Amino acid sequence: MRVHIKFVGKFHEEFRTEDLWIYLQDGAAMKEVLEKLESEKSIKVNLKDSSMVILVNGKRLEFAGGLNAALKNLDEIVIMPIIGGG
Amino acid sequence: MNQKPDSWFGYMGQILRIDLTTHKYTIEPLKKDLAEIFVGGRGFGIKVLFDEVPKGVDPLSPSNKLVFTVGPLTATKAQSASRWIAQFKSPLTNIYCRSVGGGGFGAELKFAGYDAIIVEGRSEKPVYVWINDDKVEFRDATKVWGMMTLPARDFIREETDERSRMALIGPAGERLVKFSAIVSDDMRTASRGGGGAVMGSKNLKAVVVRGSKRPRIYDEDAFDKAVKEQIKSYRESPAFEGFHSLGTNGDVYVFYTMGNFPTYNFKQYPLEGVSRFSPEILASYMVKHDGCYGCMIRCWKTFKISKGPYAGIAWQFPEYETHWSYGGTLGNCNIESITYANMLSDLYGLDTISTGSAIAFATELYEKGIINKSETDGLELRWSDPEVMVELVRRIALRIGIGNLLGEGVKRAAEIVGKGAEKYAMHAKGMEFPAYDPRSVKAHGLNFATSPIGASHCIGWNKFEIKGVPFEIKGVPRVVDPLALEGKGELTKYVQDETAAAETATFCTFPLSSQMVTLDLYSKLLYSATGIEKFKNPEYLWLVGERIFNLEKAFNIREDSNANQDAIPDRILKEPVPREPSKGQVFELDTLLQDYYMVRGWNKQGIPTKEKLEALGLADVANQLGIA
Repeated sequence: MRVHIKFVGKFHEEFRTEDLWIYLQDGAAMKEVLEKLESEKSIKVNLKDSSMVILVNGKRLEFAGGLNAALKNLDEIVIMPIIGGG
Repeated sequence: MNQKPDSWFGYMGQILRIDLTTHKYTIEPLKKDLAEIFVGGRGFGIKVLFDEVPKGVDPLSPSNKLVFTVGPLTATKAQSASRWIAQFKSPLTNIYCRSVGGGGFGAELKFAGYDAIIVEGRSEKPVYVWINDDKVEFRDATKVWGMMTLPARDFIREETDERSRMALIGPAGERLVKFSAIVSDDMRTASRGGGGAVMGSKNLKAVVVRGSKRPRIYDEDAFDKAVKEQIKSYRESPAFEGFHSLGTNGDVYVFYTMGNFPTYNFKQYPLEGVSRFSPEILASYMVKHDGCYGCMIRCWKTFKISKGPYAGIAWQFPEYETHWSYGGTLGNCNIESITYANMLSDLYGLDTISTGSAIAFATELYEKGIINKSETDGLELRWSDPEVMVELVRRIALRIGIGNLLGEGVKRAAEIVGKGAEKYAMHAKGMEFPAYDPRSVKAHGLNFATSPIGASHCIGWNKFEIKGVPFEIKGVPRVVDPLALEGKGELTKYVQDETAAAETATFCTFPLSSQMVTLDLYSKLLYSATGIEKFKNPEYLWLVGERIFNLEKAFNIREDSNANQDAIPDRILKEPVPREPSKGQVFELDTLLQDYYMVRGWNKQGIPTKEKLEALGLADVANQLGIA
């Protein structure tokens, strides 16, 4: 299967990529996506960055099953900064 | 007990009362009780309004009062504490309103020697008030009446002082558009609730200030230390860089993806072209950074438009809300047109949120055939049409044709149109909704339903749901699910009370919403600035916040029990969201309200109990309202 990853704002700058596709085994999870980003694309996503939000089909990762939940073919992942109120 | 002005620290010790009917003024000493119990800013304003604007006052009559307030930290070295607040009974909602602006006007009020200005009565002819330290003059405003804000400012400066600061109105306020704004000399606005119309109804074109004084600090060393702590907190916050580089423009695409940004008048259809709002594209228009007095964040940006039919503009950029109100809610992704409409709003003096919402309302009525070309003077109202949007902004500002109807606000406009129009009027208590869908962020939606000024995002911006700040539940910090219902009462009360407390300073929402400022820090700044013992304890500031919120609620209860009802439009209650991630969601108002009322210590009808009011030091309010 493949999932689509989009980098927004400062993460687009940092990783020098606007978006890409990652190819995985069926039922792979976010954990595997992050491993492949690092090993195949040299993109190291820092999960401890409190200004970063990872969305899976629009839902925050925590509420989309977390790092170990199985993804589906063509799932949309967005990695972006969250700023503040307005 | 009255203290002499020169014995106050932080505060200037004086309140200016202006009577526009008689063109007279008095300088009243600040009472120690007022400062200790209500601290300042928003606290002062609601106390004055509760005591002096009784039930039944017509908001556009001479009996309404307009209070401009600032806080004990305004015009000091404390960061982001120089906002100015306009408080009044709103002609849009007929209940209490608080509206906040930025720039340099707030600090100048302190320099002139005042903690608040109370405006009463109505001038027989157009007037502006020129305040120069202790000298207060009522000047003929005939020449500038009718002008947009920018030229009016320049004319007034020539007659007063080139460096004077002011709060003024444009043609929209003069024509009593119910959501017209109060605009500062640096084009910052206290937009919501129709403060512009209140000034217009008083024939007051501007309040102009220049001052030479400075607030004194009680313990300079401790204060400087606390300011250093604040600056460190800013530098260490990831939000600081975000606000500085993009303001709230970085939120638009993000919040759309999260389901918060409610497209097409809350129908929430997918928005084609939404990638135009990506941070990289918005950043490409920026040519300058600027900021309010005393704030290192400098979140203002100037956009330059060099191409297309709106070329030539260099103006304050549209913020998140305006990209929605002139953009997303209309299905419009043309950034240039949004920038142009934003500029017109500053010049005419309009609240962008309510104006855009009124345009969306009209567009949906037209689409559904409830109104047609005969009501729009031949103008075809279409979604995703920037030229129609711009044209309607102008018509609303000047009350031309259908603009005259829409300028009443969507609630009243729907009542006038009839034929089921109220289905498309997205408001709470008469205040048009900002750019958040309650179905996607439940506690934030609960805030819209319960806010004492009607649907306002700034009254209680839910950083836990929207930003993912962990909330401590039984000592354990947890990231909150925006779609869950449990525990949302507590979450909503928390941000509402914290905001009310912070707005006594007068802190800006931005550092508060990203934890750059906390009430713990505020307590350190406040005690070292003022020397008032009570302020040493941050718990006291939480109490003050809750006290202010309950007094605002009490004002509304006294006013009109119907207008006070915590309600949400049917579309949001019943129509499921069609797009992910909140697909299928509706808004469970009753469940959320009951939880909230319980947490607030209010009864099942949402009225504060006698015990609660007594605990907040508002026993006399309970008596007045007949609460047993």
